[in-house]
Amino acid sequence: MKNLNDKRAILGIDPTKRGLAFVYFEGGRLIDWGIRHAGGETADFDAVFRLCPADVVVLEDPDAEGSERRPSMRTVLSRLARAAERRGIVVVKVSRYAVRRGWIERGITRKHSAAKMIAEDFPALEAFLPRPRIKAYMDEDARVQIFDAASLVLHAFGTTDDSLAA
Amino acid sequence: MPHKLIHYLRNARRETGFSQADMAALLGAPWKSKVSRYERRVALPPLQTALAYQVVTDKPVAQLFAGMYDTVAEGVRGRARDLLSRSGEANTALRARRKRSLERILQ
Repeated sequence: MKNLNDKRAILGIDPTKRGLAFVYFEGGRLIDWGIRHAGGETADFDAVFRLCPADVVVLEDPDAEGSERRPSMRTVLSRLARAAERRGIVVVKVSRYAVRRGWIERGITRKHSAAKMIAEDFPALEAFLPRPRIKAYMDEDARVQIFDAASLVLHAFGTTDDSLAA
Repeated sequence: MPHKLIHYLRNARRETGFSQADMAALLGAPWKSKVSRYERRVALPPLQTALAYQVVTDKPVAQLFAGMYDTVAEGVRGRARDLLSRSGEANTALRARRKRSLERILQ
């Protein structure tokens, strides 16, 4: 079991075509996670923010070097950042490329392996582990996005062992 | 560290591994939508249900409703401070005991 280094209320968001995948940390502990779809990114953000009133929102930086996001998703990300800033929330942008590089440095090259590692650190997520994608034509399991959102937060703030923190 | 959420019922349920339907059955609620409404903070559970949550999750109500507890405790401390400032001298045993109780609240 691990704790996030930053003890503020932190919301990691990964927008998908199925809605907003989110993870919410408070006091370094994982409190909530899921996917919310309320029709449109601003409505989705409102729905997530009602559940998880964070001080900090972590989003992917669509303008970072190596970003492969399509234009429509870049627009969604900037709308989300604006919606957060309007509420006076601190927005932390993380490069997806840097997150991927971080996992590769730890010998992890597949999203499913990264999800497994996150679930080891935060056992509450174990039940939400996505099924591995066996064939290239198969759709990605929607739950992968929850772990993608967690990856962004963990990359931005890092973790410490629960036993060490106590 | 102040708590941002008024309660942590969803988190507590997930830690137990129960589904919303399981929780509804344990709480004696007719439908799982009741549990969903509590978890989304659309409705607040009555005291009897809050105590049932304590039994099911093995966590004290004050911990389950940590944010609400913080707000209530802060209000009580403010009123205790007022009461203490308006109190006269603790010249009897009863008044001394009352003063000690108020000071304990403020600790």
